[in-house]
Amino acid sequence: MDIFYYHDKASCVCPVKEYLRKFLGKDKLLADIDGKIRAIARRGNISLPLGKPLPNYSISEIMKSFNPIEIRLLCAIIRNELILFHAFDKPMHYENKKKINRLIEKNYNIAENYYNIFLKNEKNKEEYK
Amino acid sequence: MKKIKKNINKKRIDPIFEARKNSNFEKYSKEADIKIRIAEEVFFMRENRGLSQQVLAKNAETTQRVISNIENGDLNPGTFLLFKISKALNFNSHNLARIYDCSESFYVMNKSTGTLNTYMSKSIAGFSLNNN
Repeated sequence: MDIFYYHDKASCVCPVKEYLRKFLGKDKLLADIDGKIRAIARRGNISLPLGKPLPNYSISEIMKSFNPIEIRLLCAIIRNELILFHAFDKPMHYENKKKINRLIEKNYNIAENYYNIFLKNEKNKEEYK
Repeated sequence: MKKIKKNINKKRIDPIFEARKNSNFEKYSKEADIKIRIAEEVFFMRENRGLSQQVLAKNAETTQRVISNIENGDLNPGTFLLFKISKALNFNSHNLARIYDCSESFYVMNKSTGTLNTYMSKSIAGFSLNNN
């Protein structure tokens, strides 16, 4: 299965690529994330233990712990291609559960929006090398 | 003009592609692959046996957090912990073959203890039959 970054025309960037840029130089972490993405693409479905489908959303998430945050990559399989839509930091320790839940929901909605835009124009993607 | 070009290039940097150029990346990728294979094997075996992470942790003399980290592919257990988890989940040669992705690992494991030796030998026979 081929892997692609979703390319957002409005902001002219690939959100996941942009997000991962902050980890430049952290090769071990990037290798771990790359390993999970490729394992899911090989397997052909996003399921536990490496990822999980999100109830009420069309997208799924890939999880990676990186103390003190948890990296969440939001993606979906569309026509036998793994598309990486969005990513965000989820705090590992919940201090204010309501606030964190709002943050999570906001990011899920962003990814869902990208997903819907992508379905209208499936050329909005860049190759994942 | 140069500044604009620089900014465009900066925007186009693919962090994983860049990391792949470094000499250590291949080594890290291999480590990540092993962590993922262990994660999948432990998770599926635990689910098949209907055990919770807490129960497995207790049986393998570790903590639920450690089991969770292993199943998320975030932690590479040492040989001894993997041995305890393998024992608690009754791993056979298929499970170990999937983790190590090679048959040689059986012989390494064979050297550990007498009991493991007999158990593994039986499993290898089963493994060969199933794969021929």
